[in-house]
Amino acid sequence: MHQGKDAELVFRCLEGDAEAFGELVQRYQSAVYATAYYYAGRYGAAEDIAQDAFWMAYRSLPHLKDQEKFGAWLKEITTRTAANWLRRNAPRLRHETPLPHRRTVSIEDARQEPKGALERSERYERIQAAIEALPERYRLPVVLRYLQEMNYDEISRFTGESRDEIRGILLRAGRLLRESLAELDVQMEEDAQWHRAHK
Amino acid sequence: MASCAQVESLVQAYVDGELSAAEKAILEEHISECRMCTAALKRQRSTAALLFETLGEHRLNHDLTPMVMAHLPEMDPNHVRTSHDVTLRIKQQSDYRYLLRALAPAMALTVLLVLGMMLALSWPPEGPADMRAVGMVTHQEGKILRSHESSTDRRHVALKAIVRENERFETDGDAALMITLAGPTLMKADKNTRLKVINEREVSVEIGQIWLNVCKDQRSFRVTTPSGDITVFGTVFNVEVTPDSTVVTVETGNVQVSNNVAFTQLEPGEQTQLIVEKKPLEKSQVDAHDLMAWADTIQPDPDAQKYFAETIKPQTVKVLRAEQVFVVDTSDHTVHSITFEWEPRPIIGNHCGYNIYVSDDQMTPLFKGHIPGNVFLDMERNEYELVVPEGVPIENKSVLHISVVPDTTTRAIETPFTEVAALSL
Repeated sequence: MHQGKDAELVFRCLEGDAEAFGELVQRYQSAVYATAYYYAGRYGAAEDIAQDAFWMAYRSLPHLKDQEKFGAWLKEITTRTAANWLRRNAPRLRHETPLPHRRTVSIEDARQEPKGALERSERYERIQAAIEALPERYRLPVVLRYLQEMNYDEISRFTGESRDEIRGILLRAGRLLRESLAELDVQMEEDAQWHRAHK
Repeated sequence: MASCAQVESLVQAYVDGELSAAEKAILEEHISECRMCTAALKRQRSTAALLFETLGEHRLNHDLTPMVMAHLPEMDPNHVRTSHDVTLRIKQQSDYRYLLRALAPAMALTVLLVLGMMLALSWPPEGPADMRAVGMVTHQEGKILRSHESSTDRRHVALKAIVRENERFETDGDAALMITLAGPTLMKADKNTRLKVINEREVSVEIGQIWLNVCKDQRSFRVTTPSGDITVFGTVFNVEVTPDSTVVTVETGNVQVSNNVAFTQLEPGEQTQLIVEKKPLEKSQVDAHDLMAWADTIQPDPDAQKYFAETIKPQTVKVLRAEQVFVVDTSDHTVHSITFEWEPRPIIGNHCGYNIYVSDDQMTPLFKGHIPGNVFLDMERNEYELVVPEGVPIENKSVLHISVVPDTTTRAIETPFTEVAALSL
C-alpha cells in the first residue's frame, strides 16, 4: 500500500478507466466508511454517506491537484459529505432518538443472557462517550483503528498526517481511553470470570 | 536496559503490532524483568480488546464496490484554469503597470469562463463509440457505396439506412445523396463525392461537393478537408473540395474557415478558397444561391424524414469544450513570437493539440498556429514558442487576442495553459 499506486489509479480513472476507480474504492472503503460512521453512525447512515462520498469523489476527480494525496483529499470529501448529510437531516434527527446500538439481539443472545443486549448497549454508550471526550484530533484516528482495524500506514495515508504523528496520537489516545474505560474493563473481566465459573 | 517511561511509550504500538524489530526487542527484554510494565501492557491490551470487540459489531461487513460502481456518475468536464496569470513579458523591460493592464480584461474573461463552467453540466460520454447511430439516409439516387472503418465491407446505400459514426460514403458520376444527421442537420452530397460522417457534428470530405444546413447547437459543427477546416454553429453553406483546394461559400450565418496557417470569418454571400500554406485568405462576393442550385434538386423523401424523426434522437448536450482566451497587451512592441506555458502532467496518452487563433483588438484575424498534441507528452517540457509567420501585419498592434481551442472532438486529454506571453526582440 504505497501512495504511488494511488496516483497511478487516479491517472487511469482520468483516462476513462472506471475499473481503476473500483480499485480505489477497495483500498479506501474502510476509511471512508469509518469516517462516515464517526459523524453519523448513530443514525445508521454510514453506508449511504460512504457511497455518496465515493460518487462525489469520482465526479470531482479532475479537480484533484496532487494525485499523490488522493487519500487526504478523499477524507475532506467524506467529511463534507457527512456534514451535508447531517445538516440536511437535522430537522428529522431532532425528533429521532439516536440509536446507540443498532445491532438487533439474536435469539441466541436472548436465551443465554437475558441482560446481555442491554449490557452491551450500555458498554457501547460508555465507549462512545470516552471517544467523544478525547481531543478532537485524536478521534478520527481512533475510530479508523478500532472500528476498521486499519494499520498506521493506512491511517496516515487517509488523514494526511505522518506515520509518526499517528503513532503518537494513538499512544496518547490509548492512555486516555485506558483510564476512562478502566472501570468498564474491570467489570468485563468480572463478567468473564462469572461466566467461566458458571459453565 | 530501557527505562519504564521509554517502554511505556512503546506499549501502544506494540499492542498494535507496529513496532520495528529493534524496538520490539527492547520492549520484550524490559517486560521480561519488570512487573509494572507487564501489568501496563496487559491493561493496554485489554482496553484495545474492549474497543475492538465493541466497535467491531459496527464494522463494515461487506464490499461497497459493486454498489458504488453500479451508479457511477459522470466525471466533471476537465476544469480549465484560464489565464489568472496572463502576463506580458517584453524582454527588455518589465513594468507592473503592463501586467495590471494585461490582467484587467483577462479577469473579466476569467469570470465569464467560470460562470460558463458553472453552467456546464457534463461533456457527453464516449460510448462504445464507433457504432452509435447519428443519422439516416433521407434521399438516394444512383450508385452510392458505404463502408465502415471497422471493416472492408462495401455495400450499396438504401433509403432510410441508419448512418453510424465513422461511416464512409462514396457517390458515383450521377448519384445524389442526402443524409439527415441528429439535430437535425441536413447534408447533401453531390456526384463524385467521398466523405466520412465522423459524428453528428463532424464530417470530413475527401473530394467532391457538399451542402449543409447545420442545426444550431451549443457544439460547433466541423467540416474537415485536405486543404483546410470549416467551423460553424448554425448556418447554410457549401463546400467544394478538389485535390488542392477547398472552396467555401456561405448562404446564411457565419462560418469560420482555416487552413494550416490562416483563418478568417465568412458572412452571407462570401466565398473563400482554402489552399494549404496560403495566406491571407481572400474573400470574394458571390451569388451564393446560384452556386448552390445543385442542392435544390435533392429533396428529402417525406417517408424517410418521418422515420428519421422517430428513430434518431438528438443527443442533449449542454456545453462546449471550453476555449481558453488570452489577452496580451503588447504596448505597441512588435511581437516576434508567443509562448505558451503549462504544467506538465504525468499522463501518458492521447493529448489533444491546440489550434491557436490570433486576432488584434478589432478581432481582425492575424494568423493561425498549431501546437501538436505530442509536445505535452514530454515531461521535461512546459513551454511552446509560436513564432509569428512572416508577412503577418503584426506591427502597431496594441492588444492581441489569443484563442486556444482543442483541435479534436474526441475525448483526448486537455492541458490547461498557465501562462501566455508575447515576446518582442
